[in-house]
Amino acid sequence: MGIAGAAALLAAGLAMGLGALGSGFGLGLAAISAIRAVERQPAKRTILFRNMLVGQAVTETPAIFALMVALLLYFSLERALDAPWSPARAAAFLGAGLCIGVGALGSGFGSGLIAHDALDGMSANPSSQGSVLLLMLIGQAWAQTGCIFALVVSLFLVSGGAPSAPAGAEDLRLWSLIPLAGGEMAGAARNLGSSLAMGLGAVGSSLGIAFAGGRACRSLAAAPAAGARIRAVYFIGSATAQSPSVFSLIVALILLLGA
Amino acid sequence: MNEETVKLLIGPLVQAFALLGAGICMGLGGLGPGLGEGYAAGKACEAVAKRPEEYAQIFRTMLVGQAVTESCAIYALVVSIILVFH
Repeated sequence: MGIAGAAALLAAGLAMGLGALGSGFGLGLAAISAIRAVERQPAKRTILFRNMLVGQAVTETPAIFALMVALLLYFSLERALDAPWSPARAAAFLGAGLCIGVGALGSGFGSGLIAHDALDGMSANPSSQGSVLLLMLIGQAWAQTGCIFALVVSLFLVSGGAPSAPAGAEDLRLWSLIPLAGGEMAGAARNLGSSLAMGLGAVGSSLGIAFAGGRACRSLAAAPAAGARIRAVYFIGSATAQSPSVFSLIVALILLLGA
Repeated sequence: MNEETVKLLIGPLVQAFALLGAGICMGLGGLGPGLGEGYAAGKACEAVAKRPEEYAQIFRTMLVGQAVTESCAIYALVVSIILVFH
């Protein structure tokens, strides 16, 4: 199976583990505030329960993306067989798992944070339930963009990653045992670098947008009259918070497509 | 390893570390500003809910603060592009 197969297995585990960590924590956050909300407003329990389920369904999606990439990695084991010693391909597989895992960690936790704050707001002011639910869904979708950028980069990486440079010091061996594959070093660095750029960049933006979304939901419930102004501040503020992840995507794509 | 092997390896190694460094640079450089700008936007929403009449002032302060925060991400972008195309 070689180094590429080993990397694919490690990456599948990392992707699903990190993805489940974020979404799991987020789902729990939504449940915590739903319990508190039902305790505060027992008469509204049906609608609060429904809203919790809607929020949790969206919070679950980053984990599903991570599961998808983990399965893709597992089923690409066969492709790893034809090049047993390929650092570039190993880095591509490892990068795919890291990228979607870290991206799903941020988006999953962030979506849960928005659901948590929105349910708290709904229980504080049940009459604002409809507009808070809408803002919550917009916020959750927005917090998920980082994860979707990470998914794009991961799919690139699973399907092969950056083009490898022509073989350079291919026949060199470390301690006359391990082939160093000098030509593949740049390809491996491109794959791992693009995954780190996109994964870490997505976490920051997702968590930032999620924090803003949660606060916007709470504020909307507390002051429904200022709804239009809160929405304006939230949308412009989040759009600015999104830009670092767009820079990350640009750098990741430059690294992947080769300069 | 003998001297000749080391010489053959140095070129690809330097290139590889520059590319890896570009990725780490943009990743970590994007993480901080994203978190910070989002935090500022959240606090601005709270402030507007508390004092809707000060909306313009709050909005302007938030935007200026975010623009300054954004500069860190732009530094990271510039450095990583320099590293990729060096």
